[in-house]
Amino acid sequence: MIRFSEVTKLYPGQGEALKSLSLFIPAEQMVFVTGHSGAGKSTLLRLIALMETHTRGQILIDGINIQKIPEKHRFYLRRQIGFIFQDHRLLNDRTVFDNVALPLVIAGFDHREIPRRVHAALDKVGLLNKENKFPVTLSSGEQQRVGIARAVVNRPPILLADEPTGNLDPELSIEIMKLFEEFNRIGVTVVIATHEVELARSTGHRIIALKDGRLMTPDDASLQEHTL
Amino acid sequence: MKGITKPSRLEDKVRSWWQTHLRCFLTSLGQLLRTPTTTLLTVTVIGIALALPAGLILVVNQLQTLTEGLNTTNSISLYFKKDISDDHVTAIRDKLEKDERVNHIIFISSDQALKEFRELSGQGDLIDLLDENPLPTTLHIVPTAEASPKQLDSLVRSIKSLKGIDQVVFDSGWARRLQSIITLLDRFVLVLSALLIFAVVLIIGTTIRIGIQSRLQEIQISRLFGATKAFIRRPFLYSGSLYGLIGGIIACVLLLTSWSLLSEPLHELVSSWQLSPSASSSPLFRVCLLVIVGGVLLGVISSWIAVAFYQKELETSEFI
Repeated sequence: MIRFSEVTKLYPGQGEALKSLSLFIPAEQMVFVTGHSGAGKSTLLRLIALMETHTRGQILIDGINIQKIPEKHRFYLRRQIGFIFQDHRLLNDRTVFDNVALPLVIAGFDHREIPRRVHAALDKVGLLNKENKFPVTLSSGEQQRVGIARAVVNRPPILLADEPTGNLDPELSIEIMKLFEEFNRIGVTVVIATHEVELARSTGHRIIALKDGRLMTPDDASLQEHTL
Repeated sequence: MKGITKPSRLEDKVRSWWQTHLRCFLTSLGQLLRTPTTTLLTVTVIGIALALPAGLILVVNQLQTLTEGLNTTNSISLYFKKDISDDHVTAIRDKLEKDERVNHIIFISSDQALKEFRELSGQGDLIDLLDENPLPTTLHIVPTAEASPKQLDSLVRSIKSLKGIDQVVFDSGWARRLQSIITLLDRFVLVLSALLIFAVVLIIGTTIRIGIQSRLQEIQISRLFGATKAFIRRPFLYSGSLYGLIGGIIACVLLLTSWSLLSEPLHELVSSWQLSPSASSSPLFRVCLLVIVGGVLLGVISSWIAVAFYQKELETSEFI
């Protein structure tokens, strides 16, 4: 589903965030990307989400070379990806319902279809009773779950989460991880960037460890050789 | 595997089109109403900026219709010598009436002139003391409206060359001067209108730019979730056209109010000059319509420019 071939990302004046990185994430896999801050986790996710463009190498998503897609057509690929931020990035002047409905409005869904889908997504994260609340009135854990509902409401095949449990206590973190596993079970490819290695390990899913923009774990190196 | 699905079908797009636009319109309207003071100030400034050129256009338009009335009063007065015979007068009158530059001729005999003077001046007793009638026989020649100043000049020259003429009076100077003043005024209004329209574009553009900046997060999130350029642009175009529309309506209210204050003295002025009261209100409604439609168009254009500037920046920049 996601294939990086010797991808380098250079931030002018800040050096290389990713150094000739190659990896493959098959469809329907749930993967953790771990590493210290500055290891390149966020950059990896932002490149997949088309929030940034890489400097060298090749990125294929579902067989499409993303570099070859002009900006005016990128919106379509972005609709196939759900993104979850550490700081939620909810729109504070809109209700929970409107926040979750945003991707559907963008995709031009029928107005009768929107409430159905929004309710399904909110039900999934257990916030159906908070749909008319504004984000600021919710707890941090609840806000994160609204962010997740927003990311999955469009039923994207790829779900990316950047430190989704960064601000949450351990119990809530486990709860959120369980939620991701549920989405993964119905066929969504999930990539989660986290610095909490222990939490990632406890789930038993594949871990891609990054250090200074390179792969650290040997099993990933072998997997990449095998798949490339 | 959940693959990447095909883009939505055409009929789906068509069906959701009006929903998208209605939602966008209502959202934009809601945003304007959420900050009523700022919105009111902005639309009032736009309204004044639109009302000024529109009002001036109206005034110039009225002046032009007035001077059209003046042109027809540009008559040539022909005073005969005392000892002229009636036959000679009739001959000249017939000759002039056949001239294509002449619309019609008003004939006033010396007796008639004296009679009128007696009635108007109230100095009948004084006139009785005179031995003879001091007033000449007069022809008032009214040229056709199509006659150019050059043609009129040649007409005056040919009249002057006729026999038995004492004096030819053709005072067109002041009318021409007025005409050139109005032409100058017309140009001035044109320049002023262009400047004020530019000001409206700047006001709306700046307001939209501020709106874009305050909704930066929303734009970035929308873009991340696959919003097209048009999707991001649309609410700002609606905001811009709403500013233009409300500004245009305010301009119309200002125009109608000023008009109702001005129409009465203007009417008096017109009738005091014994001109046809052509100061009708029909151009007023045309100008009002123009102001509203123009306001909306200006709103769309200026917000489009504002968003285009921003989108160029957005495409090259990366997410925060």
